[in-house]
Amino acid sequence: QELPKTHLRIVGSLSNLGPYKDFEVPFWTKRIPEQSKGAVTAEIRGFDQMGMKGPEVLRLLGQGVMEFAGVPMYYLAADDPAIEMIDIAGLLPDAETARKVTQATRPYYEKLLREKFKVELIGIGAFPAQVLYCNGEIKGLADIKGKKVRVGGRSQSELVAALGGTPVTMAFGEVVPALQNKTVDCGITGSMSGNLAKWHEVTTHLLALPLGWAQIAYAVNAKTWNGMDPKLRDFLDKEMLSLEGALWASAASVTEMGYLCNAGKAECRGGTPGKLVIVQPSKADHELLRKVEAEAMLPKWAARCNDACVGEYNATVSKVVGLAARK
Amino acid sequence: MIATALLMLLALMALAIPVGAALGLLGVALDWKYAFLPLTRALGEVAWNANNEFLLVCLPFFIMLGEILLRSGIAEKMYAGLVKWMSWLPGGLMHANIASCALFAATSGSSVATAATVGTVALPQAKRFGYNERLFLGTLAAGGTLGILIPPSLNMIIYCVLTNTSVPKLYLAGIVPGLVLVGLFMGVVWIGCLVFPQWGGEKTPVSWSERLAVLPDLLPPLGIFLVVVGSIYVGIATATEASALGVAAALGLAAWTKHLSWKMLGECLEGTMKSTGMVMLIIVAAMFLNFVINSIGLTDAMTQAMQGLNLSPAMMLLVVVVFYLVLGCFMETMSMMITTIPIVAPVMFALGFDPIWFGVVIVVLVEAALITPPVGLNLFVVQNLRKGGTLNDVIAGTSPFVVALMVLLLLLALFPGLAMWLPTTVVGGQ
Amino acid sequence: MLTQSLVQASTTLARWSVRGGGGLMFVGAMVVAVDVVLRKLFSVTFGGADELAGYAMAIATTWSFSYVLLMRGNVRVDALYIHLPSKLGIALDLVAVLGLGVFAALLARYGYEVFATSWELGSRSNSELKVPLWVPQGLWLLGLGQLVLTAAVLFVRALTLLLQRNAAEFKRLLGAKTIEEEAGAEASYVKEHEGEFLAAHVVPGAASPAADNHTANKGA
Ligand code: NA
Ligand code: NA
Repeated sequence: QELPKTHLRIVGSLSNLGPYKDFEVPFWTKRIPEQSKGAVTAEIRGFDQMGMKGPEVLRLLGQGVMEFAGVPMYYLAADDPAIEMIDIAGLLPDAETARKVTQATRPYYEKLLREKFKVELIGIGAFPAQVLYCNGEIKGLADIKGKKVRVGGRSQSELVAALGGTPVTMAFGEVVPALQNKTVDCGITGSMSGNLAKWHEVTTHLLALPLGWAQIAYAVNAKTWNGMDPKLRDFLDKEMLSLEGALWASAASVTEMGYLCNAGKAECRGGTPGKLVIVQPSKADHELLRKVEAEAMLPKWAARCNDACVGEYNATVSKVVGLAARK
Repeated sequence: MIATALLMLLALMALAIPVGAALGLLGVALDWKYAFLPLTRALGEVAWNANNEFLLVCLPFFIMLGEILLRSGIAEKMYAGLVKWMSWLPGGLMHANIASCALFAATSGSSVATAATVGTVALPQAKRFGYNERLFLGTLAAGGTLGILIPPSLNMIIYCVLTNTSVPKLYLAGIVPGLVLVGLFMGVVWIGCLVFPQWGGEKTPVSWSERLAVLPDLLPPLGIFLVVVGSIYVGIATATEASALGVAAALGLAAWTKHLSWKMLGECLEGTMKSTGMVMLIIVAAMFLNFVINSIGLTDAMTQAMQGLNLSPAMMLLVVVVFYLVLGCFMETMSMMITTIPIVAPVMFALGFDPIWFGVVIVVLVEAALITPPVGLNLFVVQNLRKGGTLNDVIAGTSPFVVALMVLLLLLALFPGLAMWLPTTVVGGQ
Repeated sequence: MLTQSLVQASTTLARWSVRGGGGLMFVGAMVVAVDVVLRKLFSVTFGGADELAGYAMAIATTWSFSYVLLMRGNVRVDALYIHLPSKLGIALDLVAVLGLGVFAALLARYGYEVFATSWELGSRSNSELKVPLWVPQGLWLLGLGQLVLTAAVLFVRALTLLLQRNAAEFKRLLGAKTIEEEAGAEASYVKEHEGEFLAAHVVPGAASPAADNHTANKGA
């Protein structure tokens, strides 16, 4: 079937990270034109390159200032705590669970974004896992206690506090010197993005336990979407599946690659070999995490969410992870 | 599209519309003309983001710090102390001007504040001791620009915000070039006064006991420097937090010297917010303009135009230097940085230039912009401090120092280690 | 005379709001400084001093905009302006305040949208503090509204002065700052105290009239 000639302007996710550079850019600028036999073309820029911070992207998308955008979901939590449920820090300890939770919650998010923000959700990808880097020895999760940890958002901040550490917020660019001279003892970031930002040069230990996934929501302004030729919508829906699949596969494999690179293994590709001690999570770590989730994280999150959103959690996420939330 | 945008900008500026409003209205105009999305609706979000950006909070903090130091007499004592140490050199007080600027720069994040503060105390001396007035003015306008090369530095922070670079690393990278520039500036004075001894003014003998007696007056600025810059490297504070510590330290000093009062504090805060409001309006507008030119693809067009030149890295660097020198003649530096760096920096990084090193180069180019006519904020500031004479005196006296800045750029290109050695040694990496 | 008292009222309001903003910023600086010290010494933190300082700056900034406008503190490129005949200059002054007013109105219009969206969605900051965003955004918006009003008052006053052909007062209110005026603003305090400082610290004998004999500019 013939697709109508279309040019799309895409706002991508963070321009200096893997999902944007390795997936979004080739997807929109190469694959889409090829698959549509030249009918659909696209240009893309990261939201950070446009001077955006993140939280406002969904709003601007709804207002029609942007048409297509990809944005990490933790930025969107300011406008609705329900958005956090997909990535409560420490709740999803592996990529498979994270993907299952994402699939289970997808219909809910589609409805939420459509009704509240006038935005159509067309896909959810993920970054490689968020993990703990420390400058100084750690043996497990319990060692966060008494340490200053740089966090990237409220959920991580609550996790660190629940584990007895001091959460610290600071700009990403300030973290390396801060770790170097112990303004902070530890920091949480992607296993590979930490390597690319040279965290491995200023830390000694890495705990190989995913604490978050930073799912990326790909969404379209509702008016734009509804005004499109149905053939084009089908085409984009189908293509988004391939982007999603590629991102999730990469989230899992890049997380592992991040460990290999930071450990300085010969298999390291796409990163710089470091010499970190990779601490493998023990049974005790997993137990501690579940305990903290059940006793602190979920109650705290439920407290700022309404009944409907807690109910939604219990109908979806809870089924996958086996931990219920109560208001 | 590029030419239209540039022409509109020049027209709005020529109408003497306040720079902030001119940049903002240009954004709105480009939105109408070229965008099919309602980009102006983003103005509110962009303004809110720029206004509550924590990294920019150091702007009011630095201004506050300078206000307190000025109004508590600490800056004046520092100058007097340096005069006693430097006046024996050929060129006498003019060396003290440069040294004072350097020392004040170590506490202040702004070039304008540095030139204004040191200029205020130093200027009356030019006539009194028969110095060549033009060169004397030059030392102040040019010396003031050290304010942003020697850390702390507002412009460095802006650069880091725009390019996602580490502030502490860039601070470290500025120190050695800053000291080299002090040497070059002093060299200009030295050579000038060797060739024309009558420029050098009259010497006043100073005894060693006098010199030792004023040493304590040099301590407060050094103390502030240790707090503001040192706290970052011993791991107590981030760049913005450090500027807040600096305010607290300056407040402590003012209290210690018994200059602190409600009236004085009120004046400091009013002055702080007046400068902050003036600059933030420009920043908000420039951020919005940046968003618009990104959205309509102007950035892509310019980036492609630059890459399409297919120049070697060295040639590209030359093009960028000339570009900023020309633009710097006409444009206010804050808006110049915010509108151009998001376009220029990625191209330069892609060519293999180090972000930290390039940051130092940009800061030196901004310094040049501050002292090149017709729009040079430091020229205006120094002229404003005088009691007569034309701006041409200041321009003429400052011109040799522009050459010194070019020499520094050349040195940076030939020996990148000047900038890179310190950050590499202290922080590691890159 | 109505327009004159309107300008006076705006000035009084602007003076209070700029002081309020300054006070807020000062408290912000102290909170951040104390937070750093507490974190270093006791490993405790307010958790969010940076966020609060950010809100303080946003509010203080817009609260100072009107004052900057009334003090004619906005940077204007006067390369062409100063060479124009005074009537043309007056026209440009009018265009300048109008241009600023239009931009301010757009800022307030879309700033309101930011505030309204946060209000409707019940947005809270993504941090431990969970600040309801409409609170700082509402205070921030007040400053933008004030700027629109101030610009409007100035514009109306300017038209009145034009009708009265009162060029001197017009220039005093709206003209781009002359070089001498800016000098005063930059360093008024030090200038007042120049005598004391110099006599006390700078040069031996500076206070003696004899030193003034060397005023001849020997060079150039
Ligand atoms: Na400085
Ligand atoms: Na210039």
